[in-house]
Amino acid sequence: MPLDNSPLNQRQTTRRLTVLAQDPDVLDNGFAVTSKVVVPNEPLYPGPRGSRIEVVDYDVSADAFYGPFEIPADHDPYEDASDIEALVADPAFHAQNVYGVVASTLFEFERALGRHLSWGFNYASHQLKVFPHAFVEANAFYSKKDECLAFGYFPIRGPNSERVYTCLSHDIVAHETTHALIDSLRSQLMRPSSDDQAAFHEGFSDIVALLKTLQNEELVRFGVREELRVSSAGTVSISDAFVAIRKGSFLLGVAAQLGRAVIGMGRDALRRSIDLPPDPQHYLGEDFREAHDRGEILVAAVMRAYLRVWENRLGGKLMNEDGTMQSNRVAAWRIEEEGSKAARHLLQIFIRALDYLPPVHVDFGDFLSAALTADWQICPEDKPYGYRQILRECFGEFGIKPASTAKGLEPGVWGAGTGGREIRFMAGNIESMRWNREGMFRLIWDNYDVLDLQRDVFTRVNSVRPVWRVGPDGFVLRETVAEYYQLNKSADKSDLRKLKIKTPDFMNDSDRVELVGGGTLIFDEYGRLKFHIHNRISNAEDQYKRLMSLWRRGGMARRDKGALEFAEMHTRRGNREPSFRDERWD
Amino acid sequence: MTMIPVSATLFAFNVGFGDCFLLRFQYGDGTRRHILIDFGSTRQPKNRPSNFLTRVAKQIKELSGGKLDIIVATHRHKDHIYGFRTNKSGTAPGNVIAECDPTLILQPWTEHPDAPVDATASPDQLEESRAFAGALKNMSGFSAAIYKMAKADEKRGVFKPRTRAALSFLGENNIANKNSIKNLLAMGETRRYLAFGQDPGTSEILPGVNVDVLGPPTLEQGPQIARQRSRHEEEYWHLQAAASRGELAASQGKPAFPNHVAKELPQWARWGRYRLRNMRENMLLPIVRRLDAQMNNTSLILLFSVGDKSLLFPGDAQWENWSYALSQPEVREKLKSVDVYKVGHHGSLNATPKSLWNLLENKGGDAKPDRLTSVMSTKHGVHGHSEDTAVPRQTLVEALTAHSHYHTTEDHEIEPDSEKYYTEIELEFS
Repeated sequence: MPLDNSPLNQRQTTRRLTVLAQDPDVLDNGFAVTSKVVVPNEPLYPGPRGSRIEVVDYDVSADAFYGPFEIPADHDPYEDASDIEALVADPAFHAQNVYGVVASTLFEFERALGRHLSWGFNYASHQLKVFPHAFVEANAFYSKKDECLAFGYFPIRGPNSERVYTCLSHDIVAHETTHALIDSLRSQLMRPSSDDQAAFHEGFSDIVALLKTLQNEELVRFGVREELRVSSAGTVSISDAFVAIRKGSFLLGVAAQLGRAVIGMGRDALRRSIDLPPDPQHYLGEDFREAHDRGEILVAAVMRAYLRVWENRLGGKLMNEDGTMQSNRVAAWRIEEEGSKAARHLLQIFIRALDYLPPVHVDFGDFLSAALTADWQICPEDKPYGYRQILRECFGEFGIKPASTAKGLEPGVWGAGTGGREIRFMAGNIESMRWNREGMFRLIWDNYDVLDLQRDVFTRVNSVRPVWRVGPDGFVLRETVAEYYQLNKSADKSDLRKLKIKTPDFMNDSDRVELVGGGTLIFDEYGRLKFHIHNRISNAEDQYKRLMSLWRRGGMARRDKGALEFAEMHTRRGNREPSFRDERWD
Repeated sequence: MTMIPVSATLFAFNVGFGDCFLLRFQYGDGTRRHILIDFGSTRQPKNRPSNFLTRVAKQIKELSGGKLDIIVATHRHKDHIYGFRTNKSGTAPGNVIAECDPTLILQPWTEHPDAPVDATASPDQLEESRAFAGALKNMSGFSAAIYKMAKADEKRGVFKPRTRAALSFLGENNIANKNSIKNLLAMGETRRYLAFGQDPGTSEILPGVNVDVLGPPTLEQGPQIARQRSRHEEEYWHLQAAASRGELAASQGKPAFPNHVAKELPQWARWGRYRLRNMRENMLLPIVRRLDAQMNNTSLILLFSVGDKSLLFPGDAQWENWSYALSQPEVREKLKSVDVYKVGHHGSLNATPKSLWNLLENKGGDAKPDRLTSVMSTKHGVHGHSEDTAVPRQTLVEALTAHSHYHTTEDHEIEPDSEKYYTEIELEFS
């Protein structure tokens, strides 16, 4: 009996699907540049619809439904496709492209975090709906309320009205999927909070989209070719290669390929991040307060780190033990390979960092500490390429310091956060707290004093997640990650006084404000608390800053529009709208 | 010796939802000067007679004795310039206004037909100004598409009626009004396109009257008037303008992939369709509202002063336009003594900045001598259906009623046999 080689063979857990490496503008001698993304292998029904993602090809501008389209179980129908015009004209390919990029981004997160992720929807639906041709507009976004990603399309190039389909841009699809994934892991980050938190969603989504794209050697090859005029088979001088990496010249080559058609949607994050010179004033001053601008600081720091890691990886492999170089020339494919690997490793570090973030009021310093801790947990020694040292330096050049100042550890890594106190296990059932929210809440209930929490406010455990991670050295890390938050939805002036929070000038006696705090608890495999990473509801200084930031940005009067926040944010890229609430007749 | 006016009369026309003000300065020797400040409407009075705006134009001609000295078109919204449109037979309101042979036309710098003129601007600034003016034109294209889409939806019924009405109103108001603009370009011996602090060139036409231009600022002075200005924004509006062409096509029911349209919507896709329709409504409204505000912020703001008396006409300027003027100490000083205030933007929530309102020292209760006079052109129920967006804003109306002689054009109801279409407001100069 012949061996069943179909992808649905149960022995095969993943399959590869062809998608565009970036978008239809990136061509290789006139042919489409495609890549194969890895997605979980599962039965796909017409749509395509899988267990986590449903492509719903409804177009509201035309009130039309296209398809539904199928991805065959036994083969990839676009495996050898290269005719870009045919691909752009084929909505079935659009469906495969958008499904492939969304599913592979989800897969990337699940692989880095070592567990399945649930979407962050209010009603716990298992499937993210994806509209590849949602409407005629230069916009694409994640909507929590509508449990979907919506991608617009629009004409742009003159009289023939050739269309741009945002569902065909790899980085746009990955960016929007990341919004959904951050929401899945840290749902409270969509709450109005500080300038940094608003910027984090955008900046992190850009980082994932860019690093995911840069993992693709095809794309990096464009940059190398552009700068050094050499094919992959050729060689270049090491000094030229290092100069180009330091200047970001390769990336500029890549940036030239990215998002040409959709630059107005802010898809030029890579170019802007290279152009942004390191200066602590960007982060500490007033000019970069708007969410998208501020997010660019984060992207710029990461891209700078990426270039240094790339150089270190390339240099390290070419260096003899005595510090001399093995050769003064290097094969171009090695440059491409190291660029791709640097992107992959950094991407994994940043995704894992999400588990080490406080669940509310995130700032960039929290993110840096989270990334350092995530990597430190898996690779206790920062060798051989010094990723963490590079991250500290590059973020520092933009004024971002690690939030953690814990002593006795590697700089910037989170300390235990318990003030040396031990958790009590009064309920006696360690096992239930590993997976059960009620079990975890009981543990918190028993340890309000140890964790230094407020007793008189609403407290909720958002999630409890068992985690298994494998480091590059094969070391397995088993942890339990739980996040909780505390909420006073209608705090008046007296509540603020009790918490020693300065009363903002804008507050009248009848006004109520929302106070939120929370923490991430990380336990080792024996149930011992390793980290309590928190932004407390009782942190007077931070809460005051947050209230003032919200007031300045008009967040106080905002209704809970969760569904459309990203839709509006993205259209507002071009419409910086400072809030002048004091001047209005509300 | 320079002549000085002895009084001013403001004729506030009820043109429905729109501005139409005729300002007359009366001199001691019996001569008069007339300034027409805007002439537009989007929703005319319900019981109006036929050819209403032409009739209004004829009353303007009659009141001004057949000669308009100055026409001010504060900005290009339909509710401010629609009355300037002409037709070939010469019977449109703009034809009648043209017959009044205006001497000087005043418009904001953003309306300059070639490029904004600013002798002090650097080449870079000029380029930026041109880009901004170009972006404004693109917005008009987008508005036209939105308007047509809303109209087409009356048959398709994808949107809720209330949303459709709002899209239709805002889209229509932001359409380019090319005919009116063309007429404004053809009329007048002189045209000036003004920014904050520039000389309006009115001193000979209006002896004894000082005219200060308080807005709009140039991009250098007040970059916030072009909120879409920085980095990728101008491309955003180019994109939207381009998208509008497709929007238009799509609104006529042309799908992107006609050969792949399913005959029936699968059961599993119905929830998605429902959600996407809701989303679409909620997306379009904020876009057109921002676009509307953007155009409002190009409004010319003029302050007419005679001795210690003054009249303030801010068009539809919102905070972004006002903020530069209000940051200037000498302007703040002048604004304190305003006697007549044309309420900005039909009484919306953000066109009478509180910091302006707080400056006005003549506001006060009934007993206050030389109490502030306020006049608002508005029409209830046209703009905004929720408490958040209603025009006029109730809290503002309450403040105006309590602290000024408050007039609204709605007080003067229009009937088919009305003999006059305006309210008169007198101001004596002692």
